[in-house]
Amino acid sequence: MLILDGLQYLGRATINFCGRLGRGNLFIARVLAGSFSLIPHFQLIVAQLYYVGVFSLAIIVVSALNVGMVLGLQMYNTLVNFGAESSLGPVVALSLVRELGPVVAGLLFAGRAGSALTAEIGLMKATEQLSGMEMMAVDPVRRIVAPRFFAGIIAMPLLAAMFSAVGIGGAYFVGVGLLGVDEGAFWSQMQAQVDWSEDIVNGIIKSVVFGVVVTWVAVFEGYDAVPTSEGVSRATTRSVVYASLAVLGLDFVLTALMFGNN
Amino acid sequence: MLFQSGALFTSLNVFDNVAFPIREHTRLPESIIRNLVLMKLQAVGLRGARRLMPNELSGGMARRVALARAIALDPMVIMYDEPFTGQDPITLGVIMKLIRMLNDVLGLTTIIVSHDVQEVAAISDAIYLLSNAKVVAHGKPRDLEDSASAWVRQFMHGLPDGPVPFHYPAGDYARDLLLEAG
Repeated sequence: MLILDGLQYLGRATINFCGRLGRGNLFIARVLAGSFSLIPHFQLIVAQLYYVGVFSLAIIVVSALNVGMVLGLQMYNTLVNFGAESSLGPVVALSLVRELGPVVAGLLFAGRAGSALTAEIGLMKATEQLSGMEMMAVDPVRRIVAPRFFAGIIAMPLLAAMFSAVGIGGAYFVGVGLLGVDEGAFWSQMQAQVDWSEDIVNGIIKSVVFGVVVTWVAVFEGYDAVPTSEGVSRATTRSVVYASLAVLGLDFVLTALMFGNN
Repeated sequence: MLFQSGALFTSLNVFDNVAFPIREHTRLPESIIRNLVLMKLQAVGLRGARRLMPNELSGGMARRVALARAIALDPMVIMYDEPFTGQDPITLGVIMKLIRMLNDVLGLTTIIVSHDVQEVAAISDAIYLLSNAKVVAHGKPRDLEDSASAWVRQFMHGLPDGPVPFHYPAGDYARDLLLEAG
């Protein structure tokens, strides 16, 4: 009997998972299909860019500064044992541009902007604002979801770039300013060893992918939420958890594809 | 469609809520949209509240704004979901008159879903009584008020006793209390 219950639970969970996956794919197809109609309404994307991008800046900058300072300190302590403290610049820059910038910015973006998007769309559904829009013959996917989705995709690489830049600034402050690493060596070695296409472009590609995934999960969870206070709360939690796991999982896959042959 | 909750867009003020369907479906210049919106808001008595946000409105005011938004594009059919619930007596009278007036002047078809029998009976041409997803009676308000059916009479006159029980089916009350205590 216990085995049968377990099998039933597994079957139900699998059917639910497949159903949600299918709904999520159909949903994103609707968003993309309605994207052309957004061209004359580009100001909707700009407004959302302000909400998801500018409002996320504070947490991105503060986190990046701390991560950069800690990275600078830890790397210095390791490199100085081999007399290679002049390599602090490239080590920190490569860590931030390739990995920490896109990944940590993606996680923070999921927590700050992703949760806000899910809660906002979920509450609009719970308070019948989306139904009201449909009754006025306005498609909520085109008017509400699509601008937020594209704003997230644009905002994420910009935030990741800012994270890397501020992080490098933090490492510079600790390494050069406090620990006495040579300033010329810090910048010149960074310039020599960080490659545009190999490192920076791959970092940008990662952040764009994370932007698509985090925003997709956030807007879908909001739109698919059960329209009650408990339903919106659960959807917001799911949004952050799924988006964070997706960022971490995809980071490994992308890293393997981009740098696996080196 | 007028929702029971109003369903106003919480990120837009009263003016922009009423202007929303006009901006979405027409290419009218802002000066004309402004005049149209002010006319609709004047009809529901909220022209002076046009700069307020939805969270600054009472429930009744929110529904009046929603009504202004519902008639913004002069539709041919309007559906109202419980338009009289929670309105103060003055607003209730104004809303009743407005619904009837819109219906007559603009030649609309109006469908009202409501539990406020007296108010609906005062302005309707025809009433359909629903129970368990079925139409159990229909006709002119006067005919239903004088109906021979005990069910219709109980509902139309709000009588406590009749074929429709107030209590959800349950076991013996005293026994239930004693069992709980035990």
